[in-house]
Amino acid sequence: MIVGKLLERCARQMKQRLGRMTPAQYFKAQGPFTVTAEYEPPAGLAWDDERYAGDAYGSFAWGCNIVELEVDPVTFEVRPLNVTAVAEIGKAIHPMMAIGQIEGGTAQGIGYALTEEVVMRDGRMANAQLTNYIIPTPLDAAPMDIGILENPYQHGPFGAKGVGEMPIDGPAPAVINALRHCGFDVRSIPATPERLMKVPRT
Amino acid sequence: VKLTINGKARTIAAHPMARLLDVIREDCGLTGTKEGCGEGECGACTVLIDGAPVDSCLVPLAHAEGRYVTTIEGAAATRTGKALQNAFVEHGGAQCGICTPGMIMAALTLPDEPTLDDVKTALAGNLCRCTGYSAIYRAVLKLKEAE
Repeated sequence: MIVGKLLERCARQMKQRLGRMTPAQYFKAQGPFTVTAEYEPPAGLAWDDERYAGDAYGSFAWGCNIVELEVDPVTFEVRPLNVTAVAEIGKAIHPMMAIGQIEGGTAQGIGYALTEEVVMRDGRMANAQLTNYIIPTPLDAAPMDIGILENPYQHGPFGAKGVGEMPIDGPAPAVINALRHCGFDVRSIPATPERLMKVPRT
Repeated sequence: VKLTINGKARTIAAHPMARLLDVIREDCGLTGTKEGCGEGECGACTVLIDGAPVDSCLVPLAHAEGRYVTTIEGAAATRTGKALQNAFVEHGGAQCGICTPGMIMAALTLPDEPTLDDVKTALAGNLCRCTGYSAIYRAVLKLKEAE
């Protein structure tokens, strides 16, 4: 919402500068030019760094996830059957790409919950290959239902808050809560079969 | 080594153990084929040899002797290949784009009127980190429906 708004302001300045010319015409007549915009916190936004209180951000995007899954009682393999992700992102400027961001982030979040284990050895990632760092394949990815809610933020570009990062946050907690609902007292991720077979049962 | 790439007969003066991927990209200048992992896991470098999908990072040039190789450039010159490319654009099936040429090559091996399971199985060897696959399925299925 900050960089996007700066881009919007720069684009508007640029458009004004071009007047009635196309960028190509302007470039031919006047050569290149630069526009600059700098972030200023919106009025009324107060943050107290001493007490660490107040408005850390101008606005927040919100997300909600529901995961349905099944656990194989013999192999402890977990299969997500359906994943619902609803995101309130201010304004979906390009709805198709916004949905793509939510689907992609959700799939990564499910991988993070079930298979993606970073193994560190001597300060380095020991499994930095797709052979041993296991991300979801087409056969693993869960069917997804995506919902977008819009509550425009007046200081974001066209009301947008942002969508790229948030969708990865919710799926792993949702998967773990679903596993706890099934009676597996999981306290860490990824919930691999090896880990699941050792956790206390409730 | 003599082989046919996208319908054109070529003689390649490279080491027989050169990766087919490097021959395609560097000797032939066909840079549509991408290198992802370089170890046969991700499928980004998928090309067709005699119509079957292979990871070109794992195929030594010598194995392609006398065979018909199709890359994404060759696919793009066909009606179905071009339609698949357009469907990926239309449905957001490509985000960063590295997996896209491989996805399209793998999708070319699908039968007519595929089910969602057929699509998942055909693309099972191709990893995508951006889309969560859903938009790719939509692109492939909508296109096949339209056909």
